[in-house]
Amino acid sequence: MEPIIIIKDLKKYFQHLLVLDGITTNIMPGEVVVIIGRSGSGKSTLLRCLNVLEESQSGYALIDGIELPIGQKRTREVRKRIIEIRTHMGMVFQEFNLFPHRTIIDNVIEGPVIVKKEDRKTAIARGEELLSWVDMIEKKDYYPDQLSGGQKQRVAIARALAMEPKIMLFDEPTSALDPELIGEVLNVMKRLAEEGMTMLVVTHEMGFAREVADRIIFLGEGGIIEDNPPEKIMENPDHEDTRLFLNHIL
Amino acid sequence: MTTTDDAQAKAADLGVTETKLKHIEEARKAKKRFVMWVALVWVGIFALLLLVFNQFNLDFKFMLKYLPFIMKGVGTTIYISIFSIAFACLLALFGALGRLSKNPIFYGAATFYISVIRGTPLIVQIFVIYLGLPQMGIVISAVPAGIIALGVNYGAYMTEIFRAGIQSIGRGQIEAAHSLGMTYAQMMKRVVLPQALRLTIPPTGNEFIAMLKDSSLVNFLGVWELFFRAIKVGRQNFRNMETLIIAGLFYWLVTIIFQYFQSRLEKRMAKGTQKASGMGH
Repeated sequence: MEPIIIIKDLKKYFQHLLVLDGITTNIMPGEVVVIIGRSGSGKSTLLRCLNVLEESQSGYALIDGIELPIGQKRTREVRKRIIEIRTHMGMVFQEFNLFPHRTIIDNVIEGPVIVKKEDRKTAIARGEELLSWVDMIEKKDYYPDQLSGGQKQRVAIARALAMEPKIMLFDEPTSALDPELIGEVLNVMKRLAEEGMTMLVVTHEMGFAREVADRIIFLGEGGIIEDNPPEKIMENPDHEDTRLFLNHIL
Repeated sequence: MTTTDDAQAKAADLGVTETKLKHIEEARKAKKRFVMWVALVWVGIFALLLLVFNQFNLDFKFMLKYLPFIMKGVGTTIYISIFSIAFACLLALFGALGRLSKNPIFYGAATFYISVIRGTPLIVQIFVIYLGLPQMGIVISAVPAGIIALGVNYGAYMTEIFRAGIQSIGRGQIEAAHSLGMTYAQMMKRVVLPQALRLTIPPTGNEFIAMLKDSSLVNFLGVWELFFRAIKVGRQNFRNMETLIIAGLFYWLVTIIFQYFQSRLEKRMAKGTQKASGMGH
């Protein structure tokens, strides 16, 4: 099987600060990869570079067969390619980022209708299916501000899934939630993993990682310090630094 | 809990509501007193003003006679202001998008426009459009020329209002729109502008109220608006004070009316946001 994401020696600078120092890894279809690391280790930046919310400076990445534009001028072709990459990849943010002026169902169909030019009726039917799947169908005509954080995040997941992506990126999806609301979001993510979605998840929920992840990547100082299955990383890591970090967060 | 406990709790509860009611009642009374005093002060100053004006030997018969003639200008004043503010909004929107653009052409054009318009008097702009452009062979009649000049002028100032509105939309929403695959134009149209424009409505109302008065400058172009009519009859009959008072009163009245709608609009919009953000918690 071919990897769905290939990353080779990816580098990213903020001004002069090197944030990603040559990331190299492959991700297979259906794989769930959890990325952990100290704040400032570049874990969010890695996700954001993959869907071009941040620009990388050098290296190479292939996402579902599309080459990530690196160091290229934003010509019409490149802009089109960026949009294509983004439609292959759903992203879920720490702060949910729902559109507050639109109802829940309108948030979910926004992508299909506007970006994919899908017929509104078809989009609504599929959107309602997705909202049922994340158990938010009763709130479909509410506005985001009327929901709890956990509910908002489940809607955000449905919104991303409405584009029928092959890959889902989760950027600390439960970090902004009250503790009692974390479970409902992790549950949805777990079910998504069971359905075979390829997932890159930045999180410190180690219970989730142990149960769901195929691999855990420990990032430090812009590079991959350790990349191992959860049992290995959590019980017998190769690096002392990994053990120190895990001791600290567990 | 036993029944006596319940009763006690109820009584205590009742006590709280009673003091609360009393407090609310007192606050209402105080507010009423304040409003009454303010009204009194207004009436007092107004009476004083009338007394002063009386020293001008005002010809009230004359005033009554020409009141309808001057009043006919109110409609022109309002419609010039409405068209001008609409045009200004359009320019302000593009000005704001240009000010926020990373493209040097759009940014340069927007900043140049704002700088030139803010750097020259409105009256000069009005004359340039009405009297200057014909020298290039472009002749615009008085009313459209006035509307263009006022719109161009206000548009430059209102760019800041629109820019602030656009910038108040969080970075996260813009990223979410991009991550769904939206282009810049789709993101602006679907996510940023619907929210930003809502925020610009109250300050635009204020600009409109200012515009009602600034529109008097187009009298120089011979537009038969409120002020033009006032000075026309005033000069003809050497009764300038009378007609100026009439025009002034009409401007004031129209301002008061629109200010009333403006404050209602503002209150309604504030309520909307309170409701939206309050219900989730």
